Amino acid sequence: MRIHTYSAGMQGALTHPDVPPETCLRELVTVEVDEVVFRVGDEAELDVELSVVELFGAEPGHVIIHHCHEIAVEVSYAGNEKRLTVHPAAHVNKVRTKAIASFGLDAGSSADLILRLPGSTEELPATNPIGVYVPKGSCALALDLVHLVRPQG
Amino acid sequence: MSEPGIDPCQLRLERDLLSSDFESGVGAGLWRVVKLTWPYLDVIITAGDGSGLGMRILVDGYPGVAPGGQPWDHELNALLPITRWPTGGTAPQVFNPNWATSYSNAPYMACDRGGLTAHPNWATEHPARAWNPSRTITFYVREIHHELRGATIPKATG
Repeated sequence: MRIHTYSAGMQGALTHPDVPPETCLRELVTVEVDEVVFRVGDEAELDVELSVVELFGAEPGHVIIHHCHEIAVEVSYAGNEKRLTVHPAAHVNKVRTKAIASFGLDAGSSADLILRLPGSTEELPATNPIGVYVPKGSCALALDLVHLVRPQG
Repeated sequence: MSEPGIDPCQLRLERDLLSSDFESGVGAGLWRVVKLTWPYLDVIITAGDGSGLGMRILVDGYPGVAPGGQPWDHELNALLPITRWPTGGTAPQVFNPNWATSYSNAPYMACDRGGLTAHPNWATEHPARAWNPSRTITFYVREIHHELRGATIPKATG
């Protein structure tokens, strides 16, 4: 089995490529005293004493180790700002959806909106857990909601 | 070490299909692999209405050469009829049969070899959305997924 582990401030995942199914999750992750392990996309805390097959079945597992139980996100869009509260294991896609809703944007004008870190030109991948963009020692994050430019002609 | 007889481009693609960012999209229900029959990768990418757009992606030369995709009916193993190409949102600008039929039915996008063949300037003018050899297949399916977020896929009739 493959287990992908994410942590605060580390924007790539650490992949364990060939994990025996009966392996305890605890053997794959290092959890500090103030940290918790979550399944990516799920707010429930994982029991690291369970085996990976008990936790994930036959599918690849995605977990995030994080020190926050919630993250305060300040989103900027077109000169306005909104504050959201999200879970560190939430997909960027979910944060994007909440951000769009907070600005009251309709589906037609929001289809090409993406999230970026301030000053960056790179889109935050929709399937990353938002917690990876929060450094240790903080539970706050600033993001820009911007329109993608579509090449034409 | 490479396995003898297997195209290194195929090995690279197979590795990238097991990466955390590709598999996280699978886990989130945004896309999935139907099969890899070198040099074609068949995938289904989820649209805004929850239905899936089948695509066949030519991946020879990966990642040095941009993938070349086309809408595909995996059951019939044939090009998806134009009447079933995505509609709504930004999809008609990307899945445009008037343009695509001259470029192997490609999406009109800077991540696709058809788009880059027609507009080589996109690579430098739109680097954030253009394919380059440092990209992976996840970038390609993610770009397609972007354009499908507001789209629907017409159902087969008859």
